[in-house]
Amino acid sequence: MSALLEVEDLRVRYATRRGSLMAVDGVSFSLHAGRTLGLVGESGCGKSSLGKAIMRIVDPHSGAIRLDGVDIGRLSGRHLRPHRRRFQMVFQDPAASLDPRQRIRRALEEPLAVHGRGDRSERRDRVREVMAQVGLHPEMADRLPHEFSGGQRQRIAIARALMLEPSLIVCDEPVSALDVSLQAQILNLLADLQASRGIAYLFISHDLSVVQHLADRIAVMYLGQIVEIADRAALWRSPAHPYTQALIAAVPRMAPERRGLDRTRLLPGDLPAPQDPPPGCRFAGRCPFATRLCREQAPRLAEIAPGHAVACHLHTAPDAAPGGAAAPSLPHFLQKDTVQ
Amino acid sequence: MSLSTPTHGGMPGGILQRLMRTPGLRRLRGSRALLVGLLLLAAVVAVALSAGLLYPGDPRDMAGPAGTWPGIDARFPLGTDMLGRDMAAAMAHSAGTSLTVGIAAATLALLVGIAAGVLAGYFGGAVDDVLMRISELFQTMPSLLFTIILVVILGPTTASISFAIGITAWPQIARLVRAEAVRVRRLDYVDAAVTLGMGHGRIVLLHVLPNSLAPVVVAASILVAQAILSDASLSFLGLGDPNGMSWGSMVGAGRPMLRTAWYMTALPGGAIFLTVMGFMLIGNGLNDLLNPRTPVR
Amino acid sequence: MSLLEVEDLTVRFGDAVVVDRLSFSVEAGETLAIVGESGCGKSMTALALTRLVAPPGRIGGRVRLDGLDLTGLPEARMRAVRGDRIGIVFQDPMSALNPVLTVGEQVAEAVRAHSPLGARAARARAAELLDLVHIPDAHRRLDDHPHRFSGGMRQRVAIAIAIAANPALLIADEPTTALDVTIQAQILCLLDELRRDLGMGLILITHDLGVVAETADRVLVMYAGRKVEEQDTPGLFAAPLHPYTRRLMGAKPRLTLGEPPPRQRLQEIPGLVPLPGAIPPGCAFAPRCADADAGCAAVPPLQRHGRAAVACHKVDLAARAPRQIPRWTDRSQWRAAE
Repeated sequence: MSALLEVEDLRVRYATRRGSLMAVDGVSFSLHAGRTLGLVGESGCGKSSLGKAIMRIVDPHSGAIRLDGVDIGRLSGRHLRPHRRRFQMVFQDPAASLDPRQRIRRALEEPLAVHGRGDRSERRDRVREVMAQVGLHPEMADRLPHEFSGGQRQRIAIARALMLEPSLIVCDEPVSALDVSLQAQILNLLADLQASRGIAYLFISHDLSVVQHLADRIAVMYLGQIVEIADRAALWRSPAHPYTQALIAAVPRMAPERRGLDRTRLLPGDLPAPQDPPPGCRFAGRCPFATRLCREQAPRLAEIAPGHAVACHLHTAPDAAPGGAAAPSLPHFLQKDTVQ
Repeated sequence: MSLSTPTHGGMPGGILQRLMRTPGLRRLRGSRALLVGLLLLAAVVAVALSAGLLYPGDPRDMAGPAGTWPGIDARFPLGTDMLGRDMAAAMAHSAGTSLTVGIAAATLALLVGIAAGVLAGYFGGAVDDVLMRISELFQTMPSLLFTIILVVILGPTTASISFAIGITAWPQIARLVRAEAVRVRRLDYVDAAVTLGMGHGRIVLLHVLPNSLAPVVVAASILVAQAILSDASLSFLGLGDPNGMSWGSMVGAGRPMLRTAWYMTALPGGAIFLTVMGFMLIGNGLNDLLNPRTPVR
Repeated sequence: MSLLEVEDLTVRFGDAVVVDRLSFSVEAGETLAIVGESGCGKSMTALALTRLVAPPGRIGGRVRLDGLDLTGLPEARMRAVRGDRIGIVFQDPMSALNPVLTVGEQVAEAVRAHSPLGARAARARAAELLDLVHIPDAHRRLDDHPHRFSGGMRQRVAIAIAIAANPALLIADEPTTALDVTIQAQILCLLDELRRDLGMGLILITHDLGVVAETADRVLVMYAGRKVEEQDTPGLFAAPLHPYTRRLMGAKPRLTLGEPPPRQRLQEIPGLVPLPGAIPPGCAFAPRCADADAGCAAVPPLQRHGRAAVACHKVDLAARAPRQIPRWTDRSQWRAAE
C-alpha cells in the first residue's frame, strides 16, 4: 500500500536573533490514508514547525513532502492552491484560529469561495451539512466566534477544515486549550469523523494519554529529530528510547499509589538551546545511560523490530546492549512502574 | 476570568463589541472624557457650520471702530481687532478653516499610514525594511520645518497646507498599524487562511486590515488635534492661506498688540486650545473604552 | 486546630457569585488539592485567601491562619501576612518575574521584605534559597536576568521567592500548567519536597487529576463555585462520590503502560460549565448529570462522613457501607483501596 503522506528528510530553518536554528532537522515518516500518526514531544522539539511545514505555512528548507506522490513541498502559489483542499489544519487555540470579526457562515464558506466550489445555495447547504456533522446547530451560523464557548469554537474550526473534504488533517494540539470535559467531546468527534470519512490525521500533541488514545502510530521528537517511531502496540509495550521512557514516566497518572516515588524517574535538566545542538546524540546531556560514544557520534534512526525504529546507540551499537536490541533488558526508566 | 457578559446580535465590528463589554465603572469614567470632548467638538462644528448664517459678510471687512474691547459694544460681543474687524465673525469663520485642515490632513495621514503599516507588517522582510526606512526619513526631519518648506514650494492654499501636514504625520500611524499587523499576522486565523489557499490580497483585506485598526481609532482624533496645531503654527508664521482666516493667523496678527489688547490673541488662542482639547479628550476617552485593563482572574 | 481554617468563603462580583460558601481546612505539612475546570472558582479562591481579589469583587466568610482571623485584618497587616505567612506561586513563570532585575535581586528583595537582613546577608540567603529549589550553580546564577532561565527554572525562582520568608502556607495556582511534562514532574517533586522539609501546608490548585493523584493528601472538587466533593486522595480515586467527579475521571483518557488498551469512546460530559452569574438554581450540575431527577431542583446539602464530604441528592453518604478510608501514612492500605 502506498502512503498518503510521505515526508522525506525534511528540514525547516528559522533565522533568529541568536543565529539560525534548524527547528526540524531531517525528519522522515509516512502516513497511510485513514490512519492517525501521533507526533509527541515537548515544547521546542519542532513538532509544530513540522506540522506547519507540511501545511506549507512555513517553507521547508530542504526535503520532500509528498501527498499522493505529488511533492507539495516544492509547489508554490498558484500551483499549490488546487492541492490545498486535500490537506487541512486544526489549530491549538480555537480563540485565535477564527477571525473575531467574521460570522461563522463566512468563515465556513470561505474555503468553498477560495476554491470556487458551488453556487450560493450549494455553499449554504454544505455549511448546514458540515455544521450538523460536527454537532453544531446550523441556526448558529450567523453568530460571531465570541458568542461560542471554547469547545464549540473548536468544532467550528474542525468544520472549516472539513469543508473541502480533505484526506489529511493536521491537528496541532487540538484539545490542549480545552477543559477536560470538552476534550472528550472533541476527541470523540475526531474519532467519529475518521471512522465515517476515512480522514488521516497527523496528530501533534504533548499529551501522551491523548496520543495513546487516538494514534495508530507514534513518532517521538526531540530537538528537531524523530528519536523513536513505532506502531501503537510496540511503542506502548516496549518504548525503546530513554527519552520516550522518561516522557512516559513523567506523565502524572490517576494512580495515587505513585505518590512520593523517588526522584530517579525524573529526567534532569532542560532542553539544550536549539541554535547550538550538542554534537553526538542530542539527548546525551540528560540521558542517565549516555556513554562516550553517545556524546561524540549522533545515532541514526534504525529499525530494531519491523516498523519500530529508534535513534539510540544503546540499541544499535554492537557492544552496547547485551542480549540484542529486541530484548529491553536495558536500564529502564520505567522499571519501577512496570509492575503496576 | 473575565466577568464581562458577551453581546448578542449584530454589532458591526469588534470595537463596538468591546465597548459593550466594558464593565460599567470604567465605561462611565471613560465616557466622561469622551462626553466633554464630543461636546467641545460639537460646539466648534456648530460654530463653523453657522458662521455663514450668523456673519454673512466677509469677516475681513471693517465693521466698526478699531480696538473695541469685548463687552463694550453690543454689536461686537467679542470686540474688534486693530483694523476694526468683528472678532466674533473672524473667530466663527476661522473655525471652518481649522477643522477642514485638521480633518483633511489627518485623513491623508491615515490613508498613507494604514496602507504602509499593513503592508510592512504583513509582508515583513524587504517590504517592511523599505517602508520603515522611508517612514524614519520623515520622522527624523523636524516636521514643522519640512511642512514649511512644502508650503513654500506648493504655495499657501488650504489644500497644500493639509497635504503638507498630512504627509509629515503618516509615519506615526504607519508604525502603529504595522505593530498590530505584525501581531495579527502571527495569529492562527491568518495561517488558517493560508492553508485554505487564499491569496495575499484577500488575506490582507479580509483578515489583517480590519483587525489592525483598533489603535488607529484613538490615534486619529489625536492626529486631528496635532494637525490643527500645526496649521495654527503655520498661520502664525504668516504661511497660512492668505485668502482665508484662521485662528493661527489671528494670533499672529494680534501679537504686536499683546500688551495693550491681549484679547486679540487670547480669544483665538483659547479657541485653538479648546478645539485641540476636545479632540484630545475624545482620543483619551476612546482609549479608556477600548483598552480597559483586563480584569484580574 | 488546623493551620488554615476557611469558613463560608464567598466571592461576589455584583450579582455573580464566583465562590459560594466554601469551607475547608489545611493542616501543617499537608497538601490539599483544589480541582475543577476553568470558571469553577478555584483561582478566585486562592486570591480570596490572600485578599487579592480586585474590586469590584467582594469577599465574605472567614479565613483563619494559625488562629489569626485574616478577614478582619487591616490591609497593612494583611500585606505582612502575604509572603511572610502565605507564599503564592502563579501559573505563568514568564510574567511572574521582573525582566529588568536580576534573579538574585528579586529573591533578595523578597527576603528583605520580611526580615531585617542587610544586603549582603540577603544575597547569601537568596543563594541558599535558589540552592534549595535545586537551581544548579546557584551562586553563579544570582546575577543572571530571568530571560537567561528556562520556563522550569523560572518557576523554581518563583517558588524560591514564595518561600523566602518561610511561610506556613504555600498556595500554588496551576504551577505546572505552562510547563512540559518532564519539567512538570520536576516541579511537583520540588513542591512536595519543600512541603515535607519545611513543614508547610500546601494548597495546590489544578485542573489535572493526574497531578492531584501524585501530589495531594486530600482533594476538594469544585463546580460552579461550590464544593461538591472532598475526600482523601486514595479514597477519591478508589471511589469518587459525586457524579461530576466520576464523569471528570471518565472523560480523560488514561495512560496505560504495557499493552495499550482497546480503543473506547471517552465519556463525554454534555453541556458546558455554567458561568458565574448564570448558575442554574438547585444542584448546579443537574443539567449535565445523567442521574438527575426532579429532586435535584433544590441545592443539595453538604453531607459529611468522617473526612469525606459530598453535595449530591443521589448519594447517601451515611447509608453507604461504612468504609475505612485509608490514611496516607498507612501504605499497606494503598493497594487495598483499589
